Amino acid sequence: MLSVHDLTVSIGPETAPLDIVAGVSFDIAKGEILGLVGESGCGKSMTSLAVMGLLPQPGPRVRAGRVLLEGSDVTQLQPWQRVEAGHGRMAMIFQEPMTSLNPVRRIGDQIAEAVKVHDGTSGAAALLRARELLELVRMPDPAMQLSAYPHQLSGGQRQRVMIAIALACRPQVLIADEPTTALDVTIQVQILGLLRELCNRLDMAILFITHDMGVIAQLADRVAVMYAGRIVETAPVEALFDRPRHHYTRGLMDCMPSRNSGARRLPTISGQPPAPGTVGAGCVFASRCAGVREPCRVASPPRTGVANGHEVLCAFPLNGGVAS
Amino acid sequence: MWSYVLKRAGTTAVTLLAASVIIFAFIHVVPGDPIYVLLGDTATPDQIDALRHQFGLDRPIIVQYLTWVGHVLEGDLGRSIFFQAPVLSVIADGAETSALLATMTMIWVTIIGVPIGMIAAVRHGTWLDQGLSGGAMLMASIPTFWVGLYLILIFAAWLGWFPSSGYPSIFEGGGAANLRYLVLPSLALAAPNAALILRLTRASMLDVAREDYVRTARAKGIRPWQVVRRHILRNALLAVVSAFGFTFAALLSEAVVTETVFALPGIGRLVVQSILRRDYPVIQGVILVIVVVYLLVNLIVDLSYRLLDPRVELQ
Repeated sequence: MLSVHDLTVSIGPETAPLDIVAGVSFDIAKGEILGLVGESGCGKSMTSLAVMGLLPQPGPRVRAGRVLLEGSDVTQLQPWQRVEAGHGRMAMIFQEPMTSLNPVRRIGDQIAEAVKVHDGTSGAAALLRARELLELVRMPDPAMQLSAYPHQLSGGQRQRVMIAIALACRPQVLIADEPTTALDVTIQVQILGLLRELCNRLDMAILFITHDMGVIAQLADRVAVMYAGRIVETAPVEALFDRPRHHYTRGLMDCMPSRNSGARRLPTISGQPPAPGTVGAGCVFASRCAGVREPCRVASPPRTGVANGHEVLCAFPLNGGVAS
Repeated sequence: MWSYVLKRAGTTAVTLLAASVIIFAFIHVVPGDPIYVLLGDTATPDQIDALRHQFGLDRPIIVQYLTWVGHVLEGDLGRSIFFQAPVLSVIADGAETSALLATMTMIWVTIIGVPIGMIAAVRHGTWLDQGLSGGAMLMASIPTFWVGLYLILIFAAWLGWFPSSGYPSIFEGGGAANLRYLVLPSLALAAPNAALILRLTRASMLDVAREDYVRTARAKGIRPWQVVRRHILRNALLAVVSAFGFTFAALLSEAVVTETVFALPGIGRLVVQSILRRDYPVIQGVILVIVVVYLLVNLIVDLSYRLLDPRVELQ
């Protein structure tokens, strides 16, 4: 459904570009949720904006690589150009539901606006569809909410509205960029449940971006772990949690508090991710890696398939299970 | 809504009372006497005393103030010492010119400042934006009277498109065509204010363009100009609307100079001349009227805020 090949996003001058996303590739199938996980600044939001054609201008640009939606190349197209070209069935929801809706326009208008673009309907018909979409996202009292303003809704309700707007294009692909980070835990569970349900019901592909391993475990079918602008490990969710192969993935899991971690200090990954432009030859994780060996510092690691659907960007991947 | 208007009316009354004290006190602190202006240097002390008594200027200042306020409450602003006519009718004579001048100026400010600011914002960073923003900076820094003199030179003296000075009422011969007398003065008045509104519109739109909800709008797949029209413009105008209140206040003082340059029979020139003549009742009356107009304009600005932004509660 969605194929991303070797996507490279750069900032800075054409002659000396700094790659903040370097050669990212992944595929998502119909009805599948791919979790893209990584710490702040690893390039996951830039990846999602680049895939959506929403990179801020002037600013970062797609320097190389391709984004294919059902085989059609949409890489350099903004959303409105994709709609014109007939490839508009991709939508996105964002981290901040509080600021992602226009404060001076009614909810109904904001959903209907998206409906009009994709269905070509107008006025009353678009509002009717807006109401259906609010029902679809399980908004309480949808008819009333159509005439509400965003400031009259709670954070969870606003995120439901955002999802309704996204569904207006009957998306084949939905990108969710940390959609629950700003919400209470109870609301978070509801929204995640809703996304799972919609994914199954509408047969969408979802790219779910988060820094929360717990959310990934709960929601995703497959996981891509991102570090310093690169995907360092891709695996089905069970395989990743059972047998992480990259030292970084393993480190992330060790940092997760669990029920039996008790009062002891959680382990951390020492050091800082490299700033863009400071990456030299060798593996980007070498300076922080617990299992670093001499070749890691001089040569880029290969991408190796370690099991069915399980790939790792490491010359010496882990063999064992999760650390105790 | 109506309880809000009532509350505002209450605070307006208090403001007016304070303004009346300040106006009255300041004028009487200024040295000079209308009697000397009227009678000239050759008047005898007896004549002076008689006239002073006639205008009530020999009474204690508190009594003068209370008498004045009492009359104002009855709708009587007193009689002009110089014109020997009711102050209200003296002001009414100048009000037509000033009201039309202010209206025309605000129209220029709106139709020049807002759209050009929009264009500069949409094309920001290009040579067009730099040219427009630079030009606006220039216009904002040039004094109004200087712009006025150059407008007269080019459009009145050289090209002869518009008259250079004066203004016959539209209710007399000529009718609405007399508005052409106000084109150059209103343009001169509009120049610095339009420049300010232009820069504010541009800055405000660029601010709003970075908002998350603009990204949401782009994600919907609507065309760029529709994103500007439906999502950026209205939010950006919130800041611009409040600036219109300040612009109007600036207009009141700038009008004094402009009316002098273009020899317009307006309120601004009336104030200047009345101050020179120490025509106390006229000065007090005009300033009171200006304060009332200013308060009204700001009330309108606040009410229009409610229309533009549903988050604003009027309390």
